[in-house]
Amino acid sequence: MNSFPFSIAELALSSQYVLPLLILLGAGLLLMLLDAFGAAKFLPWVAGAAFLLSAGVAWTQGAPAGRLAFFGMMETGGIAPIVHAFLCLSGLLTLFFLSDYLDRHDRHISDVYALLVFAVLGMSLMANAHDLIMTFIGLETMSMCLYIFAALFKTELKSNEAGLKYFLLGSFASAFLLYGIALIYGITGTTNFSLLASPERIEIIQSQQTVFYVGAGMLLVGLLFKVSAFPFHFWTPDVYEGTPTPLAGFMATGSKMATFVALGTLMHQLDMFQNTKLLSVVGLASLLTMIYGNIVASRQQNIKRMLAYSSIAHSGYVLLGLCASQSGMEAMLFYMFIYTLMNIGAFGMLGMVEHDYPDTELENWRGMGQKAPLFAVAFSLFLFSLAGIPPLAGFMGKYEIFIAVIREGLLLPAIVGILASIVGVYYYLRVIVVMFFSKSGETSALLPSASRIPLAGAAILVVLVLVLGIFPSLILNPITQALSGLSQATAVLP
Amino acid sequence: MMDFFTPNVYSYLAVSALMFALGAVGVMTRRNGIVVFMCIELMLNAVNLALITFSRMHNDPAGSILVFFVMCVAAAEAVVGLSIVLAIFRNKLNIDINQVNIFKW
Repeated sequence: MNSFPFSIAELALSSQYVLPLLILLGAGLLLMLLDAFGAAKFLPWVAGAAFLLSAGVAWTQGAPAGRLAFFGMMETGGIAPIVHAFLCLSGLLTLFFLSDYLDRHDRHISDVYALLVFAVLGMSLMANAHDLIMTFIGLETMSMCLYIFAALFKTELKSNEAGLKYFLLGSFASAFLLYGIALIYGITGTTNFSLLASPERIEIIQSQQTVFYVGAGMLLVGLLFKVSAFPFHFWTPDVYEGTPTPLAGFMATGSKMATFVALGTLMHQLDMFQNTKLLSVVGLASLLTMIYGNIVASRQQNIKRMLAYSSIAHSGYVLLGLCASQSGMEAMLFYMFIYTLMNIGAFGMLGMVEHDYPDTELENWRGMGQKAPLFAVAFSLFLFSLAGIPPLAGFMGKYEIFIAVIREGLLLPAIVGILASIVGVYYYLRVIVVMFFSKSGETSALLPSASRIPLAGAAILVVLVLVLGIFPSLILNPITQALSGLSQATAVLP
Repeated sequence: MMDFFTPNVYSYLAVSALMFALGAVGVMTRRNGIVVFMCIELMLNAVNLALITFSRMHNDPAGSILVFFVMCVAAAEAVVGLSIVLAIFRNKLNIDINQVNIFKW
């Protein structure tokens, strides 16, 4: 493991491997400079171009798993390019809705674009880490940007509250994560995934079970907090409600995808959690998350809050998928991709109507189907997809998850999951009923924004959700291909 | 008897665990936003102490390097956290976290 003295050649090669990340880093710095020199109106375009370029480079760069950069700190092969491209896509899709939302609220906060780029950078670092140090740094880079997103409207008390809650609870959880890393480092003497998976380290872990369980449990707490799994979900609705709506959609998708990939890597690639009780803890958390999220979501009177609880429920489905092995990882990535599309769509379109916080109350959406029929149909499409109704993409995502779980022999959890998702259909349908079938006499004056860019974003997402529902293999095949090399990923260090 | 007073790995770890627990209790019981934040910093420093101890124990620099990263992260966190606290103070003129309670389900 002693890689010193390192060679310049290897550094150059590593920089080439992490080129997609360097593009994002450069773009983030450029955005800050452009902002300082008063070119604020170009910022969304520059950020969008950076996301496209970075995702494109990563997608074409695909490599066999086990291509490590910077002396085993980062994984750049296997699923890493695909995950990076997905994360960039979540940033890009958020951009469609973001600038219009900020304009309508008369808050021209141009720093947000640089932060968005840095947040995606942090997510990618965390998801593709090959060392616990990297996981921590990526998680913190991401979280720091998300804390600012939550508190973005600084004169708004609700936004302040969201920021404070997210910040205090988030850093509390990352302290636990860090203590977990320290304990695992304490018993094994390494933080590198390859070394942690080596036979002699596994032997050490087996001989020091108690400390290992405490450490891995704390690590798990930190990660489960970020995906708002059941006992650590309580911040989610408050934070999402106070956060500017398109950014709440970004929080619910990108950051969760990154955390799920990190969690999945720890659980499967590392063998650390295999055959331990920790896997059943994750399974139990997933069941409770699904049940809790769906039941509480059905009692909400505010659409934004309902979507926040529904995002808790969706975390439960994905966690369940993670309990299945290799095929679960595949289903998880596919589901998170689909979820990114439909959830950014739902949050984004919600943001298109919102001028003030009360605008997301369900009551105020009465008669939306008569006032803006196309808009209401598109929004219903995202809700149907979130509910998992065929032939939309959300159905294929759920199908993959539950099939993977059933193949693994976990029949009972799968049944609980399916029942919970049936409860979920109720609260999505309720919004649609209010929009289309309520008496039109009592409508409010709410109208969706007529700006072109968010409409274009919504149109793209609608097409994607429809197409992927019918041809899921468009995304599923690349994921399977990238994952097929994963089992050899714990190869050797340079 | 002498052994008890000579510091060894376990005494450092015990101090670290104690600091971490104190920080965690502080986060859950204190009501002032800044004090809660200080308790979180205490937890992070407890981790740092543990990491340095382990690093010394294994004679491996990775742990000490992680400590530097944790300190950087804590500094960045202080910037973000204190500015959020400041924004709340400007709007409400206090930072009692019990009064930050608009959202209820």
